[in-house]
Amino acid sequence: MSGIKPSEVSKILKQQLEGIKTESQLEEVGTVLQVGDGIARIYGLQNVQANEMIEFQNGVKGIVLNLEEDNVGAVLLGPAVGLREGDSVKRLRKISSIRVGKGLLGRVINTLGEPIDGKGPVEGELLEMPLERKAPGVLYRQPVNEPLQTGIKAIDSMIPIGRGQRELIIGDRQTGKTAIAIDTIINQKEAFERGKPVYCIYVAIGQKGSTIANIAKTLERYGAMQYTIIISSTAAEPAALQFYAPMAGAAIGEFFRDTGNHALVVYDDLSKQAVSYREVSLLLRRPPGREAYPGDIFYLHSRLLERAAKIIASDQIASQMNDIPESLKGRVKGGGSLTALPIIETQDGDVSAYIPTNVISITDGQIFLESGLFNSGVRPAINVGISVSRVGGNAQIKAMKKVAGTLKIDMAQYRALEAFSKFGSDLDAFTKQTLEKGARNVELLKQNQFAPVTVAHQIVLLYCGTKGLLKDVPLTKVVDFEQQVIDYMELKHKAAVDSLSQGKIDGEIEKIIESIASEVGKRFKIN
Amino acid sequence: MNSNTISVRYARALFASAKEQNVLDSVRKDMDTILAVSTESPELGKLLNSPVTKPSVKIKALTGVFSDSHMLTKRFLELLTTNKRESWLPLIARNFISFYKKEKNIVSVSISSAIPMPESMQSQLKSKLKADLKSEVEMESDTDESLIGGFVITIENQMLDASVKGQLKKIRYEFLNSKSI
Repeated sequence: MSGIKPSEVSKILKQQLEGIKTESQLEEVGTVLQVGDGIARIYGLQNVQANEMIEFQNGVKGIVLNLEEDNVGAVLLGPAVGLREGDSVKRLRKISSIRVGKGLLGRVINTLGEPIDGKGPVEGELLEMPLERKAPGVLYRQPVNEPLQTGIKAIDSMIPIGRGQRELIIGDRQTGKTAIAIDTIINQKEAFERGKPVYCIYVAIGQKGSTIANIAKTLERYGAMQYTIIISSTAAEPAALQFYAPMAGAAIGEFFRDTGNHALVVYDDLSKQAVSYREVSLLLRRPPGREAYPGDIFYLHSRLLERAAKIIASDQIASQMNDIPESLKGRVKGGGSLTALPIIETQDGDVSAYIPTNVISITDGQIFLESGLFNSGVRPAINVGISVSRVGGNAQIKAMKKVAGTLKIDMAQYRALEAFSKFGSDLDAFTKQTLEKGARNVELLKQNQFAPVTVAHQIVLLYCGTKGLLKDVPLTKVVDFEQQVIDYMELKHKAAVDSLSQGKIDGEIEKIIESIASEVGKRFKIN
Repeated sequence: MNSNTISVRYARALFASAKEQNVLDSVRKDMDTILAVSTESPELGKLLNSPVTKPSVKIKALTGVFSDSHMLTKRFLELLTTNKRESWLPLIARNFISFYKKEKNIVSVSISSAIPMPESMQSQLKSKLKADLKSEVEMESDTDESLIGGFVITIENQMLDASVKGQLKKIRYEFLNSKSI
């Protein structure tokens, strides 16, 4: 700013002043009957539409939610300070929406799309995208067929996620739910650098401001902010902004999805969104149902998650998609996707509560995190037995599918035997072998936070695990073994690694891995 | 949830019976008073909403306050109180007035200006609006110095802001939303 002369500023200001239309237009107004608890009842506004934005006399905006016979119920998107009975309310004649563009990447914004990171206004072209939009119809979709690599061994091998899938991350507090989502975002850096980015949107709902600042800092540190947008609605914000935050995230995701790009949206977390929606609904006097949630809480989540989709590859068909917003017409391209990772926090592992069961039934699978596993050092604390991915298997790359095919069954067998072996001391050789292999696999699947592993490396390590190549390695040395095998592969057999990342595996590569594993294994052998 | 239906139903019933007895105008006047009193004095609202005050006391108070009202209005107030719907009274009055206006084809216009509007100009405006809207016009006018200049006219739910204050607000908004500064 310091380089600009005052005379230039005045000139620009003058130009802008000349461009402003000061003619008056007819506006539709109503009167405030009652304000309180973030809700306003308004008399008049006969022609207002549901979900339309309105503006109060003090400049605070609101969204119309209830249309009744003689009054209108609206939520306030700001403080009610200064609002009084009898104040006028103006229709803004636009459905609640957010302005979206590539300029949002790297920014932290609020639910209304305003930047809150102090880096100035959002630059570049911005398109108006509605917060509430109907999900694409059957005709415009395609089955999930591309993988979304999370960089987490346990997930990519056993609970694979495809682009366009909705995979729930569920668990108690302090089990690493957010960590999985953040790791997944960090792992998209490779795709970004290859020029085929998966844009990430992290929606923080009802969290502490400090937590959000931490996440932004972490993403910045790992170079992930350049393709990420953070939507923050902290616990201090009005309930309306909190329950609209995921929809803002979906709207941004749809912008990328419908322009032929790939996007990933994390809703952290939907239990808090449900709570704020319950608050607003009860204040609007909608009848409460189970756990006092309103009757349409299922619909709220199902329509939100249904917006995650894999769009058909044909540009021609995709351009005829239903409910394309006006601003996006003519720009729609096929082949894009929006993957959703909703997060649900359970209380004491209770998945049969209302919201968890709802969201489990909506999504295409769930990653279940357990505090017991977390505390015994298995991190990520994924309970492989009850975690599933209903569609991701089709999206797994061939090599991974081949290598990890038996891993889930092996793990199940191990767990059954482990429980059984606690009762007796005499075990036959086969049982002992299964137990040892299982224990090593568990070690192999452990992974540090912020340390995503590439697909090729995952395949190498899992090949060693499933083929029992770690039998000579003591449990405590598995981490070192992993590191050395990877280093060896990268150093001596770069071609094999490249071919693995393409998804190709053959006898030759298998032989290379086996020889390296036995060589490295020897170093750890205890005589 | 059902607050709206209650007020509309009572207002409709009052309107129908007033129309039958041909006393629409006087009941309308009563409703105007009730609405004015309830917006001006919060005490009335407090009394109406109070669950500890006995209905008999409420009836006495209401008929006392609105003693000049028409017989029908008084009876209506009594009915409302015995049915324990008295807290909806202001909304009922509002709805009654809107029914009345619809019936008589009346449009209410309010105009506020920075300096008092001359009587002649007001009547001129009124007759112009009457012709344009093809309906009766009820006009209110007041002065609001904070407008600085110009006027704001509200016709039912439509508002035309032609005041200096409104223009300044627009300019402020444009400047705040422009990218170059």
